[in-house]
Amino acid sequence: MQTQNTPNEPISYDGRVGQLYKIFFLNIILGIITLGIYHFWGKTRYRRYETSSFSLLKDRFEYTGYGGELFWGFIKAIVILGILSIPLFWSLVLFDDISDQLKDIEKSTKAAAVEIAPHQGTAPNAAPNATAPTAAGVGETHETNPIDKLSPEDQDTFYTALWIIIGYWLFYAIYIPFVAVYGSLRYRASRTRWRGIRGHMTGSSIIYGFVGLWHLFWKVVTLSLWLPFGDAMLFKYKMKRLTFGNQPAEFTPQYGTLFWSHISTLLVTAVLTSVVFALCVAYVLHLNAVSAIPNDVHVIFEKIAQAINHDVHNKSILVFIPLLSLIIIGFISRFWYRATLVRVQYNNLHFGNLGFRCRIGGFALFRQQLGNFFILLLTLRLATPWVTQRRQRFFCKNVQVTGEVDKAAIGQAVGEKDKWGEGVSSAFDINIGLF
Amino acid sequence: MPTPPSARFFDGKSLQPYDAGVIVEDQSITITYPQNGQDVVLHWPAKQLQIMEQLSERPAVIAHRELIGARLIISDSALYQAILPLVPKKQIKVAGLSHSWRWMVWLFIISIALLGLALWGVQQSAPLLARHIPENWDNKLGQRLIRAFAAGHEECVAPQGKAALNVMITKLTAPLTLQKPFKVKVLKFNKKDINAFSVSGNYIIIMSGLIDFADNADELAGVLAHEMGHAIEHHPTQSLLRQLGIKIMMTAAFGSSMDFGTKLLILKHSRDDEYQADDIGVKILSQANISPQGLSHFLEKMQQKSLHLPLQEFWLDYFNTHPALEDRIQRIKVVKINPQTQPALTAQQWQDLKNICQETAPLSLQK
Repeated sequence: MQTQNTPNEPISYDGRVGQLYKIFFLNIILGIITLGIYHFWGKTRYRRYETSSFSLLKDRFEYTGYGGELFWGFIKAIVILGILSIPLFWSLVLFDDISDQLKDIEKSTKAAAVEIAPHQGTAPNAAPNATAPTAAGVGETHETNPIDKLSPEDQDTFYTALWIIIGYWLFYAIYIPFVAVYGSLRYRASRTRWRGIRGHMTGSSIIYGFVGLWHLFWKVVTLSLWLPFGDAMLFKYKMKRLTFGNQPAEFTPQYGTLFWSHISTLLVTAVLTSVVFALCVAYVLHLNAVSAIPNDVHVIFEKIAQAINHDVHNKSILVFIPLLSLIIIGFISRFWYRATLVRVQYNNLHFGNLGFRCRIGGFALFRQQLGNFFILLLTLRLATPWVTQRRQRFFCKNVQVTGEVDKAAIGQAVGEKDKWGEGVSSAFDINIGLF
Repeated sequence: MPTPPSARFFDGKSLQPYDAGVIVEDQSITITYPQNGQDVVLHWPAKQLQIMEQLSERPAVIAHRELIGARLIISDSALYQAILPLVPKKQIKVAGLSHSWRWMVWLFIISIALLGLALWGVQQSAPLLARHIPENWDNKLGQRLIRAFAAGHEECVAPQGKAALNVMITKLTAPLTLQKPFKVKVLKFNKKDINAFSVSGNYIIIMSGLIDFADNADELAGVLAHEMGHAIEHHPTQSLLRQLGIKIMMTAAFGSSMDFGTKLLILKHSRDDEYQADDIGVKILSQANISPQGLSHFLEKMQQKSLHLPLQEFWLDYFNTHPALEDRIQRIKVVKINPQTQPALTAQQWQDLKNICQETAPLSLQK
């Protein structure tokens, strides 16, 4: 564990934006010419330069991946996903057919209803009992579920296809991103060296996908109360399987710190949004000439309801502005939680006697990430190399290595390297950086 | 004889750095470094050498293909130049680009020009491709899009209203030589939904809110003529092909579709399409002896309405596919009005058309 006397070694970055731009533009040219196939080789060249721009104790890091690995990994992922998606394609075709059938049923029912309806008009004096079946018949056309009119076999097929489609949606939208993140991290770890020693990661991205789903489930069920625990446990799961050389990583999460950070950002959001809402209420009441704020809560709500009914703009003020505030305040305050998460991750991660010291603050992270977002947005991503520089410098400014690196008894990594590139993460353009 | 240290060496087994001496021979290099008080001597044959990083402002990194992780770090230019000819060319990796700024400027110009050319190519080829897409495909595409859009909405089918609509369509299309007829559908929507659009397969969809919003038949005829202009020029299919092409090009160039940039490029073309559809629409109206001022008046009303949009709708409207209404209105207003213009429909027909949604039925796209 690190002590007061543990030396801190800065990680430095000396990449040049001009050099990154050269690679970036070359990638654009060759990307266009090869219709994107060069992208995998271009990405590799970019990463190689980016990684070798980092140094620790004057020794540079090294990225040893190949474009071919990324390309074939991507092809493999696409083929596997394509084969796995055959039931989805089948379900979509069936769903489409049954939807057409349903439309036909609806159309014929409607036509029948139109034929029946005039009889109601022609017999206005008929006894209620006599017209009731007709009226009910017309009513049924709107209330009965059209699916019930399908044959039992078609109903079964419809529901089976529907469940398969929902299942695949969950698979692609929720499960696959976890798989992609793990696969990418595993590949990047095995292709990054420092002083000739590479990283290594064991474990299955498929299993990690299920672990990710499990925590996501609890995050939703507990209305986000599980979020800090889930985040820390997912990181722990990955780090438990990561080694630098033959030295396994150790991560001891600080659940309490994360939990309070999470709760405090939620509280700040709730309090500030309430203040905004109160101001909006006061403004609307003022606009509607309610001079004094009534004491009774019911009266306040009554006045608000009257104000909303009176003018649609009041509704905009009372709904739109607080909602917008909730989103903005919630979004900004989450940077403090994210900064805490990053600090907890680094400050409690060790490779033997080597550790990290991270001092990323919420505001700094907010400024950095929002800045990067707007730079990319306004330059249509042409400033990607500039953003890379900003990101890497920010990392180096805030993260140091602790411990006596030269005395660390770390040997070469054992175990096979990943042979299939980043696989699924290449397919989804997920880019997980080690830095 | 011990050689003076000229490089830094890592054996690939530990993090320990060594100061090593390097002697370059005909077909190999010899590395000598001290370990535990003794000199370790390694001979690396030339065919096993790999340059992981070339010497630049950074030291060169040389590896042995079979000694995993072993690295020789060289800052001495003379030593690097001596080793370089021994290394097989295909075993030299490159990270950065060792070209001048001048070369970089050229690279920038070439990349932008190439990207521009590719996007221009997409723009130019979209109309050509759109015209040659088999009719059957075009129809199916249009039907699929309409089904997705109109899910939960019924078609307005009141017979008198449909008859009035047919009168208007016939009036507008009689002077035209059409390869296939327009399939105009009125869909029942909320009053607030004021829109009409053409879809692949010569479909034109009118949302009922637009008929409610129109003050007279000339306004609706103006909108319909504008949409016919889109359909005649195959704009819906063109637009889909263009979007696909731009996305492919952007993904090829940047590795992802760059949604914001792609959207801006698509918007630019959509706006050009709007002007073209206005021009054709005005021509159709003139040939049918209907005043194009109905269209300009309708657009003026839309302009007035957009001024009263709540804040959130204003932002949504900001990135609209349509150009500034004022500009379009002025372009239509300057068109000389044919003195023989007649109302698009009689008062009774217009009233029937206004009531077209009094009867509805599930949408049918077969005819």
